[in-house]
Amino acid sequence: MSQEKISGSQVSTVLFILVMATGVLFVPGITARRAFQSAWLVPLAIPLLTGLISLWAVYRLGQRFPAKTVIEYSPLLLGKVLGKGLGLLYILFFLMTNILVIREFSVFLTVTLLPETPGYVLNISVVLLAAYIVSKGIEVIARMAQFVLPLFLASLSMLLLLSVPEMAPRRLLPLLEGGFLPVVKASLVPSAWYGEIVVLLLLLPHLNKPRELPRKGVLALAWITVFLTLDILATLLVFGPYLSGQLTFPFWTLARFIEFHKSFSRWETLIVILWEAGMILKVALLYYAACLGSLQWLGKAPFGWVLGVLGGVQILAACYLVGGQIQLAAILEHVFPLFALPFEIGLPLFLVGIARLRNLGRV
Amino acid sequence: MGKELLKKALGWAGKKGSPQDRPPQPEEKRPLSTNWDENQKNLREVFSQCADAVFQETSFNAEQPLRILLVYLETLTDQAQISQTIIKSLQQGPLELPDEVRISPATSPEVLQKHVLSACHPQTSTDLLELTKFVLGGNIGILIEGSSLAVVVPAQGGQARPINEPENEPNIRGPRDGFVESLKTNISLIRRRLRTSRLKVETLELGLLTKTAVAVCYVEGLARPEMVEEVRRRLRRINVDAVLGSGYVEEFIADESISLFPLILTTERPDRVTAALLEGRIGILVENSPSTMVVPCTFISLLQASEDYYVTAPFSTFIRLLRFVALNIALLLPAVTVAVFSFHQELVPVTLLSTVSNTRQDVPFPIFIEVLLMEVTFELLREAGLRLPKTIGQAVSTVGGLVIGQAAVEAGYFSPLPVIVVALTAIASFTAPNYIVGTSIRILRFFLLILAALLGGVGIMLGLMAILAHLTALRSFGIPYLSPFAPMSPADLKDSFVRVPWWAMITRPRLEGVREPQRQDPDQGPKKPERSGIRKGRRRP
Repeated sequence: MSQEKISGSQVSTVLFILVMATGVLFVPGITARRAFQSAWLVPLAIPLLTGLISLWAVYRLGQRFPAKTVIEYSPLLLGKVLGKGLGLLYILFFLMTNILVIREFSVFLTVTLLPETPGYVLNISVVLLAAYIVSKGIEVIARMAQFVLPLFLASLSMLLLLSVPEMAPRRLLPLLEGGFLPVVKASLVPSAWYGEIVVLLLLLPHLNKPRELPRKGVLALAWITVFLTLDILATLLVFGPYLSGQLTFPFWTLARFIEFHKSFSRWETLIVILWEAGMILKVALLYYAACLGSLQWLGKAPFGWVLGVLGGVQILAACYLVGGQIQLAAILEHVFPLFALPFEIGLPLFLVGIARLRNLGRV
Repeated sequence: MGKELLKKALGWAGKKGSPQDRPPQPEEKRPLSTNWDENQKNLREVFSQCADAVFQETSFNAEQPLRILLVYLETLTDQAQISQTIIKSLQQGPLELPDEVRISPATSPEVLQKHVLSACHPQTSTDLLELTKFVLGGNIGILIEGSSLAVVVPAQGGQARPINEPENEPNIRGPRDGFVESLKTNISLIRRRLRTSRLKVETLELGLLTKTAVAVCYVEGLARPEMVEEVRRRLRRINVDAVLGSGYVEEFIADESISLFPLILTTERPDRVTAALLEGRIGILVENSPSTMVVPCTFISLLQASEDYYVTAPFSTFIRLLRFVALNIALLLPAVTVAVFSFHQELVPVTLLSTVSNTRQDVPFPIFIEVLLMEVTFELLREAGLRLPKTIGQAVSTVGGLVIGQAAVEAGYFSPLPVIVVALTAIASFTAPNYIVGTSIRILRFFLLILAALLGGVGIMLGLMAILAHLTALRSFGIPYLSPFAPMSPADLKDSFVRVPWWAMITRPRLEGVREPQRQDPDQGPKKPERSGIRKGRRRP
């Protein structure tokens, strides 16, 4: 597994899909609920900054410990027990995040396309497919991302373009009503999404040119910001701040509004199916991170067993731990950021600090 | 674990199939003796019960005539050559020899080799088993009285199929010749197109009993040496008793033990193989098999035909895009139909939906069963048409297409929709230029159809992602199967879905032809004359 290499542009693609696959669905509603008509300003400030800091921390750690993942260098930094504990926490973080993503996948599809299909069928099928993809390795995930990206972008752009006739600029006014505070408050959730790029902690050794990471990472973050802003903007312009905040998947509802000629008035099915590809990849990527982490944490363990056990855990947890649409939305809004941000920005910064203080690794 | 089970089921892991049990290959030697009668007896014993082995006794017309024995297989040799050239020369004997040459039992092989039969390029052999091998290769063995050295004269002959246009890959503008069963002819077809000493042809023998010759062709300096070495290594690793076609070899040297997609390109067109060699690929020719293998193979090359390079570039691009659309129709149309009409009716324009539901009112089955049954029927018809003699095959298509299709709809068992869908799918699948990739599509079509019935469009996407993962993970001799798309190499897109004009094909594919990237000089495209004397009314300089 360790000889596999992915290129800089593949990393950008993977990061873009990682953040956008679910961000595009959940972020507009959650931000609109807090920041109202200023919600479109949210991704431009604090979340972007979070992503950049996280990227910087990961890159610094990667410079100090090239060809090592966080599971491998945290014992060097913190001592054996603490380091191993941290490694385990990271594995659990990726696992938990992925369980949420799997549930996002199944809830979203149940709501939109398959109202009569039980959620567990979707959980099981996406985990099985992701397991198959993970067994093929990170190169395959990266290459698949290159195929999925054009489809994903095409569906997003088409949606944005076709919703133009429904837009009304007055819905954005008054700008920054209530000052900057709502914008800051609304930043928490998108920040957690941006921070998911912390998966790089495990992917960094697979980069063929680690020096490119700052450039390619910033590129990915920039594109994420552009599309997320446009996404929120379109939602606000069409629905206005209050309706946007009440819908769980406002961007999907937007897709239901558009039409192109009378014969093709229901695009949302096609668009949902294209988004599904991105979500499958996101599940596979986080699954891969959890799997790789566990393998390194355990030392010598058969890959097939780790893959199987993690898959089973994810299926069970997704079926029983996370409830329906309402509960999932509440978790994503209130719990997930508090749970994720320490892993995404706190711990990497902490590790960089420790490395600098103890002067460990390559300087 | 699955692999272990599979191995057990196929008897690889059991005692029966372990490599030690294979009888050791006889490497012993049996030198010929000077006793002519004994040699003759031994040879006759080797070829006992071989009705096509001919033992022809004659004599060499020396001062004291020497008895000689000609051994050959009449089925593998050219009878006219034997009677007209060899026997005649032997009987004319010393008449035309220079004076200083003396013929005795000891010198006779040399005399035969250098003087009497020199026109036939004879060789000599001292070993009975080696001699046997030569005879089995279509040579004539000549045993001379009193000599322990046998002379071997090549006289390969026998019936061979003439060079025809390959039926599976017809062509309109390009060359019409196709590979045949004879390895020599096939190599000559390539050599005629590549008159350079850099075209290397290495041969080896495969199959304990069949002794099939296999040739590895490549252009030195273009093919990567490590890839050539890998081909050699994989070929040498094969240890089987029989190789009856290139398919046998293909499954041994492919990168994956089981893959739905062909990892080796097979073609019967010498121009296609030559073009591949010029890109740095490697050709593998197998004796007795007109289908020649080319490695490494990429997915996109299965969607390309050699015709694409002979017609104009825009048309070729159009055809390639059309083929890609057809591939998608062949793969997806039945699945999409089922998904749309059983899960996502909202995607269908209302008028179409009402028309379709009118025709389906009295149909007893859900649409999935309808499409599935129709697809199975079509596969049956297709297979029946393929295996039957051509004249009956037409009857099958009449019965299948008209009678079953129309009768089933008119009787109300089926609605017209699945019949139309299956017909469209079939036509689309016929556009695949490579038969093998068509078979992959046929299998995957059923896979997607079932997923569509279970989960609708979501199921189709799950299936497509699985196929994509499978495809991106495949490699053919180390080259990613989906290159130049993933990993992306933009310069190679010029010969993928599009084909640029020949003057723009400046570089070879990045992954295969990396050692000599430039194919031709840039800027050779046609240019308008800078000063057109005629148009501007000036005189030519």
